[in-house]
Amino acid sequence: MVSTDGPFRPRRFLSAVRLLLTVQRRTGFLHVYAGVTVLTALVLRLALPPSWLTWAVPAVLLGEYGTMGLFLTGAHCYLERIEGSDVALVVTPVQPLELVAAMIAAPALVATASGVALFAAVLGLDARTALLLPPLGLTATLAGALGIVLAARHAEFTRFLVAAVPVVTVFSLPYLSYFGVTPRWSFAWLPWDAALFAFGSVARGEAPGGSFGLLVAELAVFAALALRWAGRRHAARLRAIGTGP
Amino acid sequence: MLLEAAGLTFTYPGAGEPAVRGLDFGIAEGEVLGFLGPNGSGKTTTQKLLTRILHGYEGRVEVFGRDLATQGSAYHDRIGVCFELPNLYGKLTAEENLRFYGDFFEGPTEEVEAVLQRLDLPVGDRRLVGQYSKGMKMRLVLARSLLNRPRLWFLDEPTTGQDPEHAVLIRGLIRERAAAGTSVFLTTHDMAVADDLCDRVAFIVQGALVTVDAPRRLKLAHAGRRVRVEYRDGDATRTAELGIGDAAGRRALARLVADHEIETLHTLEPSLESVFLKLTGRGLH
Repeated sequence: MVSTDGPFRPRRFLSAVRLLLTVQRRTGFLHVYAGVTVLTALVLRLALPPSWLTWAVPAVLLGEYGTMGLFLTGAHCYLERIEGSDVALVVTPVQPLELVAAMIAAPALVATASGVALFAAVLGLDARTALLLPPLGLTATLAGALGIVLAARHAEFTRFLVAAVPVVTVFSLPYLSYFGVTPRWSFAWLPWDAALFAFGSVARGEAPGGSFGLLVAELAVFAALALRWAGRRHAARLRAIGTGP
Repeated sequence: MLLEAAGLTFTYPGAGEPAVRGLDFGIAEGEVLGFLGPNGSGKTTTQKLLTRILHGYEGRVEVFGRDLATQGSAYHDRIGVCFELPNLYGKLTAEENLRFYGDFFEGPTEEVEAVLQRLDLPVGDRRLVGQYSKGMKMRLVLARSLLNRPRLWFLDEPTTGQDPEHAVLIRGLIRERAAAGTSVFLTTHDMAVADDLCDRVAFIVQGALVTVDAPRRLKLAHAGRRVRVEYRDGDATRTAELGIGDAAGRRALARLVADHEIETLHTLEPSLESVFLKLTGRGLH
């Protein structure tokens, strides 16, 4: 496996982020984000009454960038596996956590930028847009980490897809409380709930108070746990590389 | 010794039998050690253990004067690994592949352009590596393994997929690096490559070492010490093969030389492959 006894080096992490961003750009991942953002912005602006947008945009932010982050980070894991490029990194000084953090950070940066662009295109660019950055970044981190965990558990991409669908479904339950179908607290234990209500708070232009801070803190705790989980699962998968055929 | 292994044994999880067992060998500074054996003999497992892709072995391995099991991430700064498969980023150019990879090392790295040129790969090529031929990809993998100026260089079938011209180029590079002090652990089942490059070869079969010695010594030790003589006999050219390991054979050769015009005379050295066959009772393929 990759050496695990070295310190986390920001230089190696940033090198890995640059590498993965380049690979993902050439593979078309960034085009997917850009295309989805433009299409969604057009649909929202043309098809929905303006009064609905402050409710619709948060739901779309979560649905699109959360789900895409999970699937595309997972897809990137399989891309590396197919090319064998992950094995080549095992014999460098790069640490599993540096790699995992880069695998999450690269699409998270793009998802965050896309989310902000969508928000600005539909609701306008103003001071509240900056408030969107923490919950968007953390949601994308969480989604990417889950993508890595699922990819580490399943050898085949099809199995990954099958396993990802129920995860996405469960994580989407907070839509019920967001749209008032169930009580507000029904799904507060799910990280997507914190993300959704944090996006909603920003979209409605509510003053960033304690509740927004709590939602972001909840999201940060989930993201940190997921990052750690992903690091462990990825390290375990790298250990298994040596025992493969 | 730069690397010394004693009683190296490893069993894959869930496997009944060890993949390698009781391996004792060493590599000196600037030495090329060939690990030769048929597919599945334990060559690649040994390389995976020594490059720390695999963990959990029994026995003792010391590299750079330190127990391999206690080596930190800096170990990978000092070794180079050339894989048997072209595990590159197909969506990047050759230069991007090398630059990104080189960024992970702490110490000084080779100039990317110089390494590409040394391996006859195009500099400034905008094509993506996915469009390269297998031979070019494999040379790029070799180039990548050199970036961090390794002191210990692991090569797994380094001439795979190369045309004769590039195979010669790679052999020359390996000789050059070894002469400069790099130790080389070469796994191959190509006996000609091993015979040409290795200071010593280790024969491994079913996870166990059969012998470790210099190719020349192995060939001499297992040669029948025979010569083939082509000589004139009247108008005809005849051939005789004579053993020269005993007095009778040497007398026969002397008579032949005295009585006939000799056209050619060759010693019949066994090939490394035939020595392998003799020692292990099986071929390499």
